[in-house]
Formats: sequence, structure tokens, C-alpha cells
Amino acid sequence: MKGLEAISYYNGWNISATGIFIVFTALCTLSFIISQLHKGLMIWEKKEDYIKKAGKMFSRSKKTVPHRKIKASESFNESARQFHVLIQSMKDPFSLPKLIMLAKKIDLGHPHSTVNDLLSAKLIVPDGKGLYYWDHDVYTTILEKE
Amino acid sequence: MELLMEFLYNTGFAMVDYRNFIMIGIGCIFIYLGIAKHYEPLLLVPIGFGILIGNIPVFKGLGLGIYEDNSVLHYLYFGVTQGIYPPLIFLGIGAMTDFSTLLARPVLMLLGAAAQVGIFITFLSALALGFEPNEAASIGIIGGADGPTAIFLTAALAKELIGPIAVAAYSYMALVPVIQPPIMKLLTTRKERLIRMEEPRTVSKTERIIFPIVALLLCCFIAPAAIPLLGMLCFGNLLKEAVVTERLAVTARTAVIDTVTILLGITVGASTQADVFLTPKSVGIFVLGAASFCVATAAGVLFAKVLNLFLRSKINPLLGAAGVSAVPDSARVVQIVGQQEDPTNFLLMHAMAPNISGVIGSAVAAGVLWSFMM
Repeated sequence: MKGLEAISYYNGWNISATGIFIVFTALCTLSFIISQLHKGLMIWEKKEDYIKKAGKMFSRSKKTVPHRKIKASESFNESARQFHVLIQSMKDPFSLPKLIMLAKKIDLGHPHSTVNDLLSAKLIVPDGKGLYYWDHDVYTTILEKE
Repeated sequence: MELLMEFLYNTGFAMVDYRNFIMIGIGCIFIYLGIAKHYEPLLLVPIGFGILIGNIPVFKGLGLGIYEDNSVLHYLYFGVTQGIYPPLIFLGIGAMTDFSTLLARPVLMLLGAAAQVGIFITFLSALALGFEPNEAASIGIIGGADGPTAIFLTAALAKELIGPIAVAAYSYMALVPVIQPPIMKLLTTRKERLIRMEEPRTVSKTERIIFPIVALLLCCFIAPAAIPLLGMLCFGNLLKEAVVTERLAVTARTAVIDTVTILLGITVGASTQADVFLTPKSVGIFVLGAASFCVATAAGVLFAKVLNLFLRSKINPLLGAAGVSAVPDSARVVQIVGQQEDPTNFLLMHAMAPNISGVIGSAVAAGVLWSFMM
């Protein structure tokens, strides 16, 4: 038997197609695995770092974020004074965007971060209705400590 | 006088026929190509000399010929017919091969897979020409351009064809510098041949140690019949990369592989006795073997061109020709053809990746064919 008849009779088409498929599968899979091998090894070599990072992330999510303690540094006190003057020119309660806009207008340095520090130090306190007021008692305490 | 005449009748001169002379001529050509042209001398010289040994006419019944039970040559040939030598050669190849380039750019492994298409196309062609499936599978594996693999599969499937298939496989391996360049040039443009490859990344020692283990487990789980060849290849490579077993690796890549190559070459050569070798089947095997080799080379080159359609960092399609596993000759041919276009383009290191993956691919293909024919 010869020709295409022989190929079909001996199941040649299926054998060849399956054979090519198996060889490609084996080498493609091997190729994929070795392309990822060095990445896996890198993770394995730095496993302690990764464990630490993961641990930190895990513990951070459990604990409540502590309030940042604002040190009454000279620059902070000076900023508080400047903002106190600025707020006196506004009606109580005041809006924060307006305060920041005014601060920008008169060229006070870093108005966003300063307002954030004043909020953290509870010098600026929310009134619960979307506006804020200046806490004179806290301000007096800070000045006394100075 | 009668005694003298009887002696004369038993000499080679009285028993010789023209076919022996043809084979002795082929043996001499092999020795010439090996020594004068440096075409695979470590293989062609032993095989060529074996052809001379095998074609000296001997008186049947004296236990001299390789096909006679209890002859010394028959015992040595046992390693071929039982598939013992090829895995030992793979052990040595593993112990001398550096897989770093393959690990640095794994995508080149696909070129080794593509070149194996030649095996299956030749298998179909052999079936179409009237060969039995077992014989067709053994002939097809010549396209893998891997002598030990061809012998291993033929020993398992069609013992009677070991001689012609082994000689065809090794002849074409030796003729890689002649067969491949025209196909490579025909299928590529000058612009493609000028493509420079990216510098490969540095591969760590741990990667090199893990690779033979992963390769063995993965490939042999997919094609268990490849265990004898891939098992020894990966074991040899592990011995090399582990460093602590350097003594064993050195033995495997020197004493073991050299001894086995001598025994394999001489016995395969001796198995080509004219009456067994010079048959119409052998002619068919040689024709199909050459076709198989050409198709495998073309498949590798064309697949590299297809891959380039999807890759950001292009690969030189000449590398596809190294997908046939004639290590390291086909990689050297890639380097030579590449440098004919640009003498400052060094492709050898990159070509070793598909070349080595071709070894793995042809072993897997042999395993697959063997399992289909069982």
C-alpha cells in the first residue's frame, strides 16, 4: 500500500498531528516555566523581606492609625498665629476651602499642609455641619507652653 | 596444493563482490571527510573505519561477522541493538552542555520544537512510499539530526534498519555545513539575516541546577518514553551544574562519552555489510533522510519568521536552522551564515539555545513515536 491511502490506513495524519502537538506542548510549557523560574527564585531569595512587608501590612490594617502628635515647633506656632489672624477676618464658623484660598492669596507657605496640621492639633475643629471654628482654648494652651 | 586452494577460496579476495567495494569506497569517503574536511571527525572516522571492517568478506560460520551470534563484534553491537549506547552518549552531552543561553531567552526553545515538524512530515512521506509504520517512524527521526536518538528509536522499532538509518543520520549531521546554508539563505532576506540579537541576561547557578530537574519531570511526565534519553541528558547536566559532583561530570563528558562513541561508531559502521546495507530500502532511507533534514531546517527558519510577527525584540530567523539538534554544528552554521552578511554579528551563543532545545525536542518526539508504535 502506498500514497495517501497508506497514510490514512496507518493513521498517519493523527499520529503526526498528535506528535507535533505533544512536542510543542512539552517545549512551550518548559519554556514558560523557565521564563518564570528566575522570578520565582527572586521571590524565594527575598522571602524574609516579603514576609516582613506582608506582616507590616497585616498589622497596620488591624491597628487604628494613631493621631499625629504635632510638636509645637516655632514654625508651627508662627503658622498658627498667622492663620489665627486670617480666621479673625472671617466669620465663625468658616469654610476650609475659603480659608485655604485666602491663605494662598496672601502668600502663606504650604496652606494645605498647615491647615492639616492645625486640624490634627485640634486648633481648627469641625462644627459637624460642614464648617469649622477656631478653638481659642487650645490656642491659648499652645501659646502658654511657648 | 588442495590445502592452498581451499585457503584461497576462503580469503576475502575470493568472496568479495562489487557491493563490498562500493561500501569500502563509502567508508574511505567518511574517513576522508572526517580527517581532511573536519566534518564530525569523532563520528565519521569510527563509522568509516567500521564500514571497512564490516565489508571485508568473511567465511560465514567462523563467528567473525557482526550479525553472527557469539562474535566479538556482535557483543559490541549489543549496545546498539538494545539501545544502551545512546543514553550513555546523552549522559555525556548533558555533562558538557551549558543551558544558560536557553534559560536566558526561553522563547528560543520554540524554534527547537518547530524543527521537529520535519520528523513527522518525513514519517508521513515514508508511509506514503510504502514503508511500514515502525520503519517510517525510524526514518522520520533522522530529521531530528540527532544520531543517538535515531539509533535509539530504530533499535526499539526497526532493528534491521539500524545500519542505514545510523549512517544516514550521521552523514547528514556531518553534512550540516553543506545542506543547511542554501535553505537558510533561500528562506530569509538580507535584512533578516542582519538582525542582531539582544544580549542575554545573566543566569544564576540556582536556575541552572533547577533546570534539568524541571525539564526531566515535565517532559517525561508528558512523554514517558523519552525517559532513557532525557533522563540521562538531564542527569549529566545536573552533575555538571551541581559542581560538587564535578568528578562524575568530568568522567561522563570525557571517558564515558568517548568510549561509547568509539564503540557506537565502529559497530554501526560494521553493521553496514553490503548484503544488508545496499538495498532499495536504504536508498529510500537516504532520500527521505535528506528530505527530512531539509524540511526540519526550513520549519525552524519559517517558524522564527512567524515568531517575529509577535515579538517586540526580533530574533534572527537564521537561528531557526539551529533547531535541528546537530549540536553544535548547526549553531556554527548559523554563526557562519550570519557573519557572511555582517562579520561583527555574533550569533553562535544565541544559536546554542534552539540547538539544545532541538536535542530535548527530538528526544520527546522519539518518545512520542515509540509510544505510538508500541
